[in-house]
Amino acid sequence: MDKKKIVQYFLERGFLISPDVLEKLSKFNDSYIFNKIIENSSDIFLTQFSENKVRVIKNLVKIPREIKTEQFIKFFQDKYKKMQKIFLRRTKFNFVSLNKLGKERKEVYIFGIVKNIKEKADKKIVEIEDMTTSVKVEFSLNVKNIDNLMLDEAIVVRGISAGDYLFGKEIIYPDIPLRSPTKGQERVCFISDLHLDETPPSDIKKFFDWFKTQKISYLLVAGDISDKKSFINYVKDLGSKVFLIPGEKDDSSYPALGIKLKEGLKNVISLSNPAMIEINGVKILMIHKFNLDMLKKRYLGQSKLILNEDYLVLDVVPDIVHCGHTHEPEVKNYKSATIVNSGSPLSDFKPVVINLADRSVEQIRL
Amino acid sequence: MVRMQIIDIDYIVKENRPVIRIFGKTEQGKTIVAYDDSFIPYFYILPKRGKTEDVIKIIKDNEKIRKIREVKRFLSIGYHEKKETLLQVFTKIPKDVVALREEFSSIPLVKNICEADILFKYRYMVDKNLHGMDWVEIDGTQEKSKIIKAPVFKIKKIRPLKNIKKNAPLRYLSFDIESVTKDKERMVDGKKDPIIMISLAFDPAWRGKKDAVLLTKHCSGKNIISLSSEKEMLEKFQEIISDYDPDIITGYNINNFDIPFVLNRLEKNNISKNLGRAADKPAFMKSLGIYQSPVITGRVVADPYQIIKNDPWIKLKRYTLNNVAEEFLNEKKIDIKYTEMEQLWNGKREGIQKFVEYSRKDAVLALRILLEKGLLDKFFELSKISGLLLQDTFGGQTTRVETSFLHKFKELGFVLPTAPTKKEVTKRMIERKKLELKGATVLEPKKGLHTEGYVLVLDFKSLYPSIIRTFNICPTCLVTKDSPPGVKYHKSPWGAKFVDKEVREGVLPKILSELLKTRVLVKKEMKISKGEKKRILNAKQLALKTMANSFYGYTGYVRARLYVMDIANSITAYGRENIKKTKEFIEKNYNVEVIYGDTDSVFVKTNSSSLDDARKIGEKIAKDVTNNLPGYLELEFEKIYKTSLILSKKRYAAWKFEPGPDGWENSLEMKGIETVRRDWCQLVTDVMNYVLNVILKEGNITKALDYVKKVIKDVKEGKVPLEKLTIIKGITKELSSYKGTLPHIELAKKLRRRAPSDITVGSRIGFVIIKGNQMLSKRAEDPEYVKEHNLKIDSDYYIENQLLPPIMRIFSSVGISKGELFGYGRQANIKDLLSGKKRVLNHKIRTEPDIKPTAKHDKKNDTVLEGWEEFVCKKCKKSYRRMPLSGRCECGGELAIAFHGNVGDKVILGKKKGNNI
Repeated sequence: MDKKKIVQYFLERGFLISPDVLEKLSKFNDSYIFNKIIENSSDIFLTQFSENKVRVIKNLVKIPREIKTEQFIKFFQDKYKKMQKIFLRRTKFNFVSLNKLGKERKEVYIFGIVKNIKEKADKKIVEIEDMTTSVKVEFSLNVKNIDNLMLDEAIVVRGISAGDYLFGKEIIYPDIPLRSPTKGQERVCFISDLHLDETPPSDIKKFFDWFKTQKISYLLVAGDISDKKSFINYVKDLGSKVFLIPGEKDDSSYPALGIKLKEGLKNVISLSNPAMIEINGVKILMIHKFNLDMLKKRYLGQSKLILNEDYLVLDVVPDIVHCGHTHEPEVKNYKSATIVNSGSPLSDFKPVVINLADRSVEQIRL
Repeated sequence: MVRMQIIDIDYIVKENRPVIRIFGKTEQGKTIVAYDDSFIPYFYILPKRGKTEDVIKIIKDNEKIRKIREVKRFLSIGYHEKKETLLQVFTKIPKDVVALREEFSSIPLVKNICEADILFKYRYMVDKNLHGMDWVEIDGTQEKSKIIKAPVFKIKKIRPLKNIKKNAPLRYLSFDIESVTKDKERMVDGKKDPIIMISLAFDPAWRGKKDAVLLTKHCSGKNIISLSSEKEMLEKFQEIISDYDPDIITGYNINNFDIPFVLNRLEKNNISKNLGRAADKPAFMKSLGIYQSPVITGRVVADPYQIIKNDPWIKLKRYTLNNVAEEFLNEKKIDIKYTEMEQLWNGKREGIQKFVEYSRKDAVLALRILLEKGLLDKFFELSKISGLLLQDTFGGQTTRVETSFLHKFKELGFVLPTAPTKKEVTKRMIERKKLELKGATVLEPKKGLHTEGYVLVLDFKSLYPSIIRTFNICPTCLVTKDSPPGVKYHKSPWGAKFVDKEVREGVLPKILSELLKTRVLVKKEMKISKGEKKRILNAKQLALKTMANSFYGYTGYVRARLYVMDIANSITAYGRENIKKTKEFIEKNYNVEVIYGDTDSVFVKTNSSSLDDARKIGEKIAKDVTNNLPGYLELEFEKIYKTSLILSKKRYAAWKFEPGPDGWENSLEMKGIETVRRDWCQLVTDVMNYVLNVILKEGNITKALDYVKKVIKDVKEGKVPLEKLTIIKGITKELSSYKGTLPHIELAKKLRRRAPSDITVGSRIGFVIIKGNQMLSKRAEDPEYVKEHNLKIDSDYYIENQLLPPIMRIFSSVGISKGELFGYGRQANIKDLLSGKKRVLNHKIRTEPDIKPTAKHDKKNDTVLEGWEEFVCKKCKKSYRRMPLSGRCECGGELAIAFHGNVGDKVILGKKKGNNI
């Protein structure tokens, strides 16, 4: 089969294939083998495509329909292991395994996952577990971050051990590193929440008319398009590459697989929510509903699904975070990450354009 | 000269002097504020015997003290023949009293400190003989004020006017706020989400408007005011309050939601919290333990939700505005779910209008409930009787009783002790526990169905108050080691000694006598009154009765200032003795049988089968007993039970006949078999009602039995509507503090996990039990969810655990055993008999099944589930919210998945979830 056609076939299903694989596959003539490859590949697809300047770093392509008890166990343990790796990279503490907490009073660092939170009038008792056992940690209400501590979070606690009890003094999250911003090339436009079933078409047309005059190479759409057909109509003839993720209006599950678009769209790549891509070396996290805590905690929200591994662990640090959902345009920086939200044509819409060469950010008033 | 009715009182400190401010209304409904800066705070010190001078020396140079006076007062605990010398210590400002109380109580020569914890405004009221809602006449001069809008008077002289019966015309304002959030994971929060709408209802109308809605969007409709921002809307709200100048602010659940929310938003928008009648006192939330209540100076906040919830005479299954409006006004309100609100608000014009009308109705209904049901009438009267300001009458009974005592003590020269310390309270609790106190006794009942010979029910009128008055029970009459030897006393059956009336008439009996005498007069006047006047008089006599009945409880309350253990116990002991004596007297002198007696009533079975004859007998017995009993104890003929079914102590049902204006009125009476028993679903109530009706009125047991058989069949066949099977239970504490598993708590946890919900302490949750192999509590499910997912009801549970227990109690008390009912042997299982099966021996009833793979009845495969909710240990049955990291239960056992009442090892997801476009 024609190599271009093969590339297109995989692209429509959210896969970018490398040249050597392409070489092997070009010997086949029907898509049966391609489907088999897609079905049997791992859920989270990591690939490298040296020809083009775009790399898909994280994209969820499969959701298991049959889940056994063992999978629940594996899923949770995967989260633990991944978060542990991140903590070890980002911090220099010596963690004590929970079953080795001694009886003498001394300061310790422990790592684990929040199992239970009990609220009392003047304190919170948090049960934390690791692979060995679990332990109860007592926090006074003025410990930083105790208020928005949530169940199933992975945290490091600095505390004073006292037998089988621990007095928590500090809650430590891995956070992202502070480093100089990564620079690349070309310009990227960020929009979201088009809500094509509600927004007056004139407002949408205004944006696309403007966009066509701009010669921007990439258009990223962070969810809530609400009407596939209409969206395809607007983007099919654009010269730029379009990346699309679903919002909760498009797919209520989380994480959610990429929206199934019709066949034959060459320039549109449908990815999952959330997903991470790299354009000219700059890593962009696309996620519909976002808050800053996700960067600090290195975890992207609450999963409603059980997968073969924990997809929501933020192991790769993004340079840009593209989000939506709030319908409020916003641009802010956190350490070396830029967070952009274009708002929505339903309320306030300011598409964001970033020039990867100098990382300058512009909010467009139409 | 100004005449006004007291609405609220507060005080401020000006130039180091306290100034009392009285907010009142004239007969024409004008607001007036009168102030008094001549009243000085004080408290009492009781020095040790003979050490008065020494104590004065120690304290006199304290800079907080203005002056010290030696006074003579009676101490209130125990009978003291003479007044004691106390020091009345005047301070500069009320705060000083608290400071000095702490300081001086540690002086060794000080025996006790008294009345050092009385709120300054009540100190003023008691000393000036003012009760809440009293009319007063003020001699004074009018002044101008920058902080108070109403006319201000400086008080030269003030006196209460006791002869004005009406209340001043009051202005009522009801309001309801709306707020939305996009975040589906939580409820609206005053710290994060703005108010988008405020609805108001007025009585009387405000500038021609009976209601109005403020909102931050454009909307067309009646009396709608659109503002451009939340700040502007809040400012308009304040403006309207100031302009309308309401006396009573109300709204459904405003205490817990609307008012705290508004205060938060005022702060966020940097607007002053000025909602009251004095600009120097912003509105705030006062904390009393875990509860908070709003304080708006000069106005009274009345929340109908709290009033209805706390009323012991009103028992509803649900206290939502919807339910209450339906019950009281026969009105249904438009229902909008929380999840819909945000969509309506951010959507099209019609949606916004729908939302506006929904909100407007909330405000209007709350006001109507308050006014049309006259909810405040009782509190107006309680305020006048107890002395409390109207705002304080909504709270607990303790303050009512103690303020009442304060007034009486002032009149008679007694001094009230300070509230007990934590240590003291603990001591009292331990003392009570040690003695294993008996209750109010109850005579052993003659169980069974009584159909031959009518049963008379004779009640003691206001038993405990009568006992208190008859036997002169009062803390001031208790003979203690401080009482003079040789004083004339009598002993209660409990063993405590009280001085005779001739020595001293107790304060408590005096208060009660006044209350009860007034009540008799009010009831007399009620008989010849009509309409509005009659309603007010009825409220008054109810308030008098409520007040009189709160004193007994107070005497046994460990936190009471006047708590004396011997007193409550003496009262109950006299009660027990009284019932015993009454029974003996009746059975000795008449040809009747006392078949039951409980605290203040006796059931007397006669041979009569004529209502009028039976009544004559009842009235004669009542008269004779009354004459035979000491003092104020009075027995009255109440009603007749034509037939009665007594199951056990405090559990009976009867066909009651009461004399009414148009002859005998009959109805079914049930005690302990109440229709609002919270563990039961409506089906049980319906069946119980029917069965009792048939047995008591028709005596037809077979008919009742056949009916029960049919109901059981319907349950099994799933023909009973879910509403009848719903059980409603309340959440009384934080979900995490429940030990063990309870169905409604498990469901509450499930609901919270599914969607943001307003489930908090105090919420009532309705649930049904579905079929499955998990334990019972885990199979509690939301009826809506059951309908949506077509889940099956556990008919076994409803038959075995809901219907049969109370039904069998009735049938067995009729002397019918399970076997005899059907002519089968005794070992038959009732369920099988009723369903027509032949008898089955040793039928094991499963209510807590073991967790076994039950699958589509294929033992080889695992049970396949369609989703997951929790994880359960196969060995010890402990459940987990999610899989623990170790993959095993704490006991080492393997874990299984639980979903919709079933347990299994595998999940296969159904149709593809969530893809919407």
